[in-house]
Amino acid sequence: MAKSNKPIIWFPFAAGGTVIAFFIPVIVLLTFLAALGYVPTGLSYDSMRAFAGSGLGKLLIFGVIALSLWSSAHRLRCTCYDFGLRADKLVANVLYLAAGAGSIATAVFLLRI
Amino acid sequence: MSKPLVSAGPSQGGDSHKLGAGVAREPQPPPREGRMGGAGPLIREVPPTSWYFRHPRYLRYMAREITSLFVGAYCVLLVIALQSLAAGQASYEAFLLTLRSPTSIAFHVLALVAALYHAATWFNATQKAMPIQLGEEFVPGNLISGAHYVAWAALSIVILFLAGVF
Repeated sequence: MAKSNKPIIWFPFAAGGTVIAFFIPVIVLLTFLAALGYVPTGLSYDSMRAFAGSGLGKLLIFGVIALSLWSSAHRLRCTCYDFGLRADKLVANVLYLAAGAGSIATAVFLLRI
Repeated sequence: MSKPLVSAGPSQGGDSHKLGAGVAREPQPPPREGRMGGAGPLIREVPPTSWYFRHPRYLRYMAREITSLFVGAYCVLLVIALQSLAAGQASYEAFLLTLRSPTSIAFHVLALVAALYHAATWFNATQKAMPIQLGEEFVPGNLISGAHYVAWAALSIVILFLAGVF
């Protein structure tokens, strides 16, 4: 049987696309409100500390950020190719490494809270 | 009489006798490596950096592709937010203040449009990506996409409520 790394790339891509679609617009809206000077009570330091301090909160934050990062990296790779940047191996390595580094950083920051 | 195009490609030597001296030919795109020039299968040249201007459908596809840039950048912002949250109250509140810069506000507008466009196109695609068959019949596609929109709206309202927006 031929071996393929596609399922490993595709599963987080599809899961990430779904997570982005369901969660990212409303999260952008929340930080947009903060950017406009109206910080929702849920985004205050104490609320965010309490949320990120709980096991479920850590799991949700890590899941949303890591899957969104991976999915965006994969889509950016395709975008680079479609815009004529054909050094696919290099682009893929850089983007996937960046997504991996971002996910590890997310886990480290969560464990510090 | 147009001159036969002599390409600088690697198969140049093999082609010159086929084109023939003095035979009128339309200029051909240079043959690609490993193909038999004009005698091989038709190879349509696609400009690698401007192909998507050929059809509005391609432009919409590329518009969707570009949303990944803003979503990716926004994810990086979330990681930075988490870093400041882990570093303590002073650092987190300084982060909230930097969000209020005009650059940040402009970025949020772009990221919001990109995220909404991604979500809408993603939910529109669900009916093609995962059709549901019940017995002999397929569930109408708009019902599948519509269910995703309803779930999206409900989830967003719950998150806004939990975050204390209303």
